[in-house]
Amino acid sequence: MSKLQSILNVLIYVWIIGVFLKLLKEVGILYKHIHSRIFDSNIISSSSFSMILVSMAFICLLIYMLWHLRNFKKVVKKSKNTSLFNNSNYKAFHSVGMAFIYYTVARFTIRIVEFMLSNVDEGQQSIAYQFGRNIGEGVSNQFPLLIVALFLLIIAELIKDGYQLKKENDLTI
Amino acid sequence: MPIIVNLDVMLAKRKMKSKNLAEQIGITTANLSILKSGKAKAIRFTTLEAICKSLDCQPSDLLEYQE
Repeated sequence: MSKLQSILNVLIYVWIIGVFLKLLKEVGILYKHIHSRIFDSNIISSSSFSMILVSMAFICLLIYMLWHLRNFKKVVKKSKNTSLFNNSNYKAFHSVGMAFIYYTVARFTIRIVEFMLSNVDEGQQSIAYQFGRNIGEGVSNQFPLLIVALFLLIIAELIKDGYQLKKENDLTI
Repeated sequence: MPIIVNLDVMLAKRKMKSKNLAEQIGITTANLSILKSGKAKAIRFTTLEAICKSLDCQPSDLLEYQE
């Protein structure tokens, strides 16, 4: 069990680093948008205000994700010493699961808005086709995280049930 | 819970201390205290048997149903 928890801890660290790098990249993009908005005199090439908003929303989302991953890492570390079946673990798993679902939905929405705002012409393909392809891409990109989120919620429920059973067992004399 | 544990009454009748009973039946005083206070969710037959043997009584002397 502790070996598995160690591996999970390392993976969460890697995940946190990945999200942090993504955050840095997104800050760079935001900086570029703001810079072009202020200094670019050409109205066509300068970034629109809505693109800046989308970028800021994504940054907020990444910070939200980082915060929840940090909390999750704490739980994994703490549960090494104590029993996994306790109320705080249930709450932590549940909140992380819900956070992943919110992240997935918000990220998908941002992706769609991003597509609608960007006027990239992809050859002869119609806008409807491009829109459909982007939705498909968005769904397939967020699907693994959604599955992880549902697994975390199921584990949270298992921890809750286990906690109830443990409590009952502790009170059986 | 409508099940009342009369363990303290039986201990007083037998003039026995909780600590001694706990030692005799092989459970901790903390667990015996949980049993006495009625916070216990369940009692094992083995524990009940040991208590009855130590206090020389019947299970009905220890447990009572009240509505």
